[in-house]
Amino acid sequence: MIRVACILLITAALALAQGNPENGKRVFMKQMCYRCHGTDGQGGAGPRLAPKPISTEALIKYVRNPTGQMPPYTNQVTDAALADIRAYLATIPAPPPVKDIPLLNQ
Amino acid sequence: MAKHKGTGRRGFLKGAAAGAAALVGSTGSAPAQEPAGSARPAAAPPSVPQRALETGPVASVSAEIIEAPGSDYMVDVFKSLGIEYYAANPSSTLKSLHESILNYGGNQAPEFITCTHEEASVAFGNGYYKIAGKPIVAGLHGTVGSQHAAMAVYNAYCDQAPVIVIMGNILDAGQRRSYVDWLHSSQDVAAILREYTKWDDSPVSLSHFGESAVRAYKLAMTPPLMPVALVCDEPLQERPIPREFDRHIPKLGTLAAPTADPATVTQLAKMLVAAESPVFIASRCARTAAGMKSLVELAELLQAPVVDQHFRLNFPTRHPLNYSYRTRDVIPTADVVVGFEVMDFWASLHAFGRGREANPRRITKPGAKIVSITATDLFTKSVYENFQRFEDSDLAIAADAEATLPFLLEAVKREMTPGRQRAIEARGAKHAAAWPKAYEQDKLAASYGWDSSPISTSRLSMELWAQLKNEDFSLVNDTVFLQNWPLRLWDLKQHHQYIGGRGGEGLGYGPPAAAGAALANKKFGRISLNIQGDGDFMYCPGALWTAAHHKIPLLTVMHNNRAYNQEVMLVQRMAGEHKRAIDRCGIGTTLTEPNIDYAKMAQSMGVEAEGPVTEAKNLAPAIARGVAAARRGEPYLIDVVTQGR
Repeated sequence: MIRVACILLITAALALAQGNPENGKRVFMKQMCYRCHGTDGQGGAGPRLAPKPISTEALIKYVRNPTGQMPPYTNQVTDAALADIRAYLATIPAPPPVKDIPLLNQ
Repeated sequence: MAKHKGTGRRGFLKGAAAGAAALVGSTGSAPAQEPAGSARPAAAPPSVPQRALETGPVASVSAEIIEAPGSDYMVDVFKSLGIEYYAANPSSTLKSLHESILNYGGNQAPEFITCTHEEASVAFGNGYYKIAGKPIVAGLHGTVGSQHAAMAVYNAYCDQAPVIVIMGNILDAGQRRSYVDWLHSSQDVAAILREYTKWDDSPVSLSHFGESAVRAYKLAMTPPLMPVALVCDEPLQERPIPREFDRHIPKLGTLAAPTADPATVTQLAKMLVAAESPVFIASRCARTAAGMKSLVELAELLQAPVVDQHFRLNFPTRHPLNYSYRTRDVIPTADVVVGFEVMDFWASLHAFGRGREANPRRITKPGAKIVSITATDLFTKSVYENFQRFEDSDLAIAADAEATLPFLLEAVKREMTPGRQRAIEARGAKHAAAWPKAYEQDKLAASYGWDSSPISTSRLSMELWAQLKNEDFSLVNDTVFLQNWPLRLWDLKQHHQYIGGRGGEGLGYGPPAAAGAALANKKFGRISLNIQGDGDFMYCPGALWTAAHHKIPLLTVMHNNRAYNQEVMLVQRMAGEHKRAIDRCGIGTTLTEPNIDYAKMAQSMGVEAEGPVTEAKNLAPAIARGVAAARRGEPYLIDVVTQGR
């Protein structure tokens, strides 16, 4: 019984850690996170989130009790949905190096 | 807003009699709106003759020939002041002045600029001043036109932009010919603007008008520069110029700005030379190119970092001493901070905590000397609190910063010693080494989301810079809603290249102010670029028609994030704090369902346009077409669908 519970917990933790990027993008847009952070997490009025997002645990901890101008998401988004958002952010590729963008070198 | 056609005195008597009959039996206390089926008798509507006065053709009356109306003299006064433009929506209470501008004045200096809203007329003047360095006249129709214009006057007041506002009125009740004349008249029409204009007057004779107009111009153009209002009574315009009036126009003379006294200037110079880490903050320091040149010279002389708050372009964007977006690198360690015409000096030196209470804390180190130089200390009003929080400065110099800077420069040179010169040079070397690193950080930040759709504001900015950097151009609206990328990344060196935005942060500024600035730029063959937010645009899109009608070369690039994005974020914050649904915060804050087609709006008003552009790869050719149109002297609009910020 204990073994089964442990397996379930580990499975849940793994699912939380991996997340579903498609659902994450949907939630990211529905909750209008993009209004501050950009549709690709590039930042705007709010800070940049991607590429290389912070860990799921850090994301959940921050979103529940943010600093600065970020609204607190206490009950509007589940931990699983936040893991999905994190998974979505993790799929966003890094931009080209600045030196390879001619418009940024003029 | 309805405007009535002129009528003769006979028309007035006829209408007045009918109107009086219609008013008999009406009650004075009925609410404005009654529910359907209410038994309460409705207030009597305007009679047929009254409506005819408002909406019908000009009444047939005996012609009265007036060969030299008072409004001709008013045009002479405007010409003497070098007024180039009269921006207005046509107004019955200013109809004689209107006609005099066209036919007596030849529609040249001033030329009539047709605006589709009084708010636009004043904003047009706000933008025009910031390029031309002098005011236009904006004509407002009596009560209702002044009410329309009020926010734009407040914007200009806060922006220290002089506009001469002319307000139509019919003060003498015996001269009012219809109920509309009563609706549009006031015993004190300037009252609505009085708390945010520098001065107003209601002349009762032509000599009075001449004197007051010249006084108004003088006050408007003496720092702190502000709008002024002059009531232009309809009978004064329309009656003949009295034979005995010699049409004298008072002399304006050269206007000298107020400067600090020599002893105070020397005191400040000593402080600056002795300082180990002085910092300059500038909001509207550079009224002209000369102000920018002086500030650069002073900063270089002292190797002092400059925080340009960009209500004008006070300092070159890529100058190694530019710390506009790195304030925390210099203000906390400064031992002397000098504010040059700083709009909100207190907030510049404090940080706010999170939460309902502001919990501000000072960010300067203990003992740092705080100095302000500002002409706003010479003229402050009470009701509107644009004067901001009081800063407890060590030295408050009530003087115009731009006019004082040359004297301060000379004083600093006098006080300089070889020892201090070496220390200052060492300080400069540190700043010079720091700047490239900061610039690379900005470029890296700009690269994120480079190919995003909607298009990132950094990508949009750099696509524009690529095609404008070799042009003589002017950015004629602010950049705060696109993360200030142009001011962070573009190489802006000339004062006219950026003119700031809304002084009072009131929406309805961008399109008309940009058009006014663009008209001022036209004589220099200069391209004007307005990166225009969609929310602000929808307040007064008619300015595009004005640009088309008057052939004003203005390139409008829509920053179309399909929202009042600031308000989206604010309501999200409230929902979060209230532990309620954040995903509903688009209600009332977004401009979707349907999306607005700005290109079609522009095209309907005679402005060539394209879009919506949603992919970054399509920006360059669109911008090329827009720049080409502006080079040809035409307005052009590109609708770009963008990220929120």
